[in-house]
Amino acid sequence: MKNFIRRSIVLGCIIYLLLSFIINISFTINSNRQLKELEFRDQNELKEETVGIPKDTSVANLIQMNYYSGRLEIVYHHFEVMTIAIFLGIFISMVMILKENSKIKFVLFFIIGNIIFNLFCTSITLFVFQSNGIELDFIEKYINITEHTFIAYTIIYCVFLMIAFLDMKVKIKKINESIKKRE
Amino acid sequence: MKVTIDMQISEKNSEEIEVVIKTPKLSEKIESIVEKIYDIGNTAIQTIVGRKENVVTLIETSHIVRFYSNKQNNYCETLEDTYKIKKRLYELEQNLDKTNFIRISHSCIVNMKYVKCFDLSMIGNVTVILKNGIREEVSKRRISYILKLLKEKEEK
Repeated sequence: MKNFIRRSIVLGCIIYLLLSFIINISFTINSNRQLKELEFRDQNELKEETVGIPKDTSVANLIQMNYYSGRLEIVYHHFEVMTIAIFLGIFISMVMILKENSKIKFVLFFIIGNIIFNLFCTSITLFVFQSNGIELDFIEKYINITEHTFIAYTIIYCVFLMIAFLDMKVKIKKINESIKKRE
Repeated sequence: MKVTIDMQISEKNSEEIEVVIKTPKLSEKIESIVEKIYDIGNTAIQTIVGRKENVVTLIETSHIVRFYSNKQNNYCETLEDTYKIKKRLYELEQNLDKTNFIRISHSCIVNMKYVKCFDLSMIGNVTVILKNGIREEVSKRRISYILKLLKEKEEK
């Protein structure tokens, strides 16, 4: 267990570092491009706009608020990256520990099976909606389906495990019987 | 090395070729000769050369409980001792007597004569319990194959 936790933390940190590095670079490139676009506009077009703002706020306040909300957005992105990194770290360390602890395979199969099952359900749902002319966001629908199918999936998974276990038990019984006969 | 071919035997015993090696002690050379003879003869191995603390011993396969690999080395285990062997498990699987020896996982071949029973744990792991008390994990993929082999033997 200690090894598992240690591995999860180390892997989580490595994944977080890599992902945040990629995201930071993409943010920098994106914001540089947007800044250049704004500068280009400034030089060519100028216009006046009237905007209604609350009495006790100024344009400077609005700019400051915008500045902070931009920074907050980046922080939220990093939280998302951190969550993904933690889950990926745990998942990879589970795969690594699989040889040492065979119980982990049930958790891994459950997670992988759940992902495949939900992807399958989401694809079918989206296909049905699309054929009726309704466009849906894939990730939103995926999360929605995950919430609704979790209990059903857990029951199906448990039943499947039970069947596999009973089948194995029958086979082992037959093997033991034939060993006794040999003796 | 002196090679002698004795053709003065009765007609009744001529169906099977008998090779006798006369040597004062077992060595690596003898070991490879024995293995080559078995390979040429294409018959099930009856004896295998094992080593323990630089002492080479000829072991009858019927006395072997299991063959297993550990850290890139292969071993055979009798009820009394464990010996290091040169042959690889896939070679043994091909050349051993298939009525007694069954490969139960990628790292172990057991002699069914020494199998006490198979056991299924609560989490679904299958283990074989040998008569010397050792438990060895069985690959689930091989369960159906083992069952099939045992049934075939029963029918015979």
